[in-house]
Amino acid sequence: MNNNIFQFNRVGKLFRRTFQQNSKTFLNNTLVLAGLPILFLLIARLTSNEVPSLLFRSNFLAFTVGVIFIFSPFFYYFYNHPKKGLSEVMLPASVLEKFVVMQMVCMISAPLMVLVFLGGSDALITALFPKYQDGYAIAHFFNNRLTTDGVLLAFLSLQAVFFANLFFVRRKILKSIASFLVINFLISIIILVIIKVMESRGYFDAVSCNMSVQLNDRGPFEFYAGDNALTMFVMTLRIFMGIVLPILFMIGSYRLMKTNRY
Amino acid sequence: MIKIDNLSFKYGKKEVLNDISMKLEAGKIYGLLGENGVGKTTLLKIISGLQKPWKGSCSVFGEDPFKRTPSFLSRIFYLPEELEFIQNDCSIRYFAKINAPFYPKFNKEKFETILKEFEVEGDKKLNKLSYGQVKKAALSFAIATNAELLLLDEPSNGLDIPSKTLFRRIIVQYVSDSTCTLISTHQVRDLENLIDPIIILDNKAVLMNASLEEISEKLYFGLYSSVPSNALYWEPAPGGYICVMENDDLGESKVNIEALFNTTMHHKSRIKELLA
Repeated sequence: MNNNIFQFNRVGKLFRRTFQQNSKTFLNNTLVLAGLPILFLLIARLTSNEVPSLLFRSNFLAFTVGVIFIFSPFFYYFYNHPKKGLSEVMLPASVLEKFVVMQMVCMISAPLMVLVFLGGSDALITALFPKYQDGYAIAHFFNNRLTTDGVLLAFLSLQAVFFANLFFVRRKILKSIASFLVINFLISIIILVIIKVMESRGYFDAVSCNMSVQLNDRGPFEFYAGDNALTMFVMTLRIFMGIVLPILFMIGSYRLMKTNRY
Repeated sequence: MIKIDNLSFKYGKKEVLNDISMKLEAGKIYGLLGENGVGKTTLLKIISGLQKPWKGSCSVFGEDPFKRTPSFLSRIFYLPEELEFIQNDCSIRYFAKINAPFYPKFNKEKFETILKEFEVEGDKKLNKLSYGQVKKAALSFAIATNAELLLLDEPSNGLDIPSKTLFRRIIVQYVSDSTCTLISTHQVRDLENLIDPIIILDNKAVLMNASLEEISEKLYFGLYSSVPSNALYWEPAPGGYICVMENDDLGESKVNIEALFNTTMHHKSRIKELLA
């Protein structure tokens, strides 16, 4: 591959630089994450003589993984800052390499950090003090919380935040939230209009309208010949929202990185 | 090394550069002079790939800088006037440790020597240093990269008088002979005895792109007790007036950069005819 487009050597250097540059932040975060299960146990023991339930711990783990995963692009808050961003944009590596490293940090490193340190600390407490705490939150999380739709929604949210972080220059968080609310509202209106149009044209007969649409056990591309119109519509929407839209956001983010002016 | 052809640039509707053309060669220390707001920083940003020309072209090492390829970025170093990009919660030594691997010609010994000469505390956090100290730290790193193109925007801003003298010496001593250095400033005295050639930029044109030798061939700088009638520009000075005249067999004289700049600002079209 062309030396100026992608080189694993430079990707490795970028990764190393990211962790060296932010070693204190990572260390602080890991300590906080690892300390939270101990804190929960202590609070529970001191206040109510009860132990934190597996459901609570699993939910908390899922919530933290989700929040860190979705908002991790703000880790690169200053990437497009006209002054502070120069250290990144002028660094001798290609945009593709920088983009790949940023995506990997957000998609892999950030949630992995939570799973390893929060989930790991929880598992360690369970293993060491089984009489105080029952079950492994991380196992419960993987078995019960990690659904296809959940992953697709998180992926869409991450890519939307990633794009917004590069699109807005100042007051990013506020502008991102405001624009997501507006876009969500618009998408809801569009979906409603489409459903109404389909309904008026007789796509949903009385039977299909009374059917519930269960998709959680389906893969994103699992269409069946007997699917009713509503199921087909929801499946198509799911592909658009979970796959097409995030890919469009990724392409947009890459374009912004490539063409941003400082 | 740098070829700029009919380059124009706009911020929104405001035209900053209009139909600029020039060529810059390796091994020279160019002084880019101009009044505030004429587009010196913009030109440096275009050359470094941070901005894209609106019209015309800019080519550096035969490449379009805006593509920001790794090979291009590893051969240049752009030091902006404001150093927010470097003012992190780390020391300049740590900054060098994590960034130097991207610059294949980075010379650690040179970096340490320059830091020492500038008397910068290499292990103190950059956000705890004074502006002048950060500037010197950043300059040390920039020079140690041994980049083939060094773009310095107002490098003497924030430096005290001894540091300005030191800065000139360090540039002469440590910048590689094959490097093209382009220094933008409006404090022309700070770069006296350092820059050659001199580029004087105006909103609408390059008024001058000439070596000191060419300038002294065309213009004469002298101290007179009274102002000669053919003087293009004069200003009071101890012992009389510093006068600038067209050089009609007056011989060689030492170019006074400040007087040259002021002469150019007062006689733009004539100086452009003589030296652009």
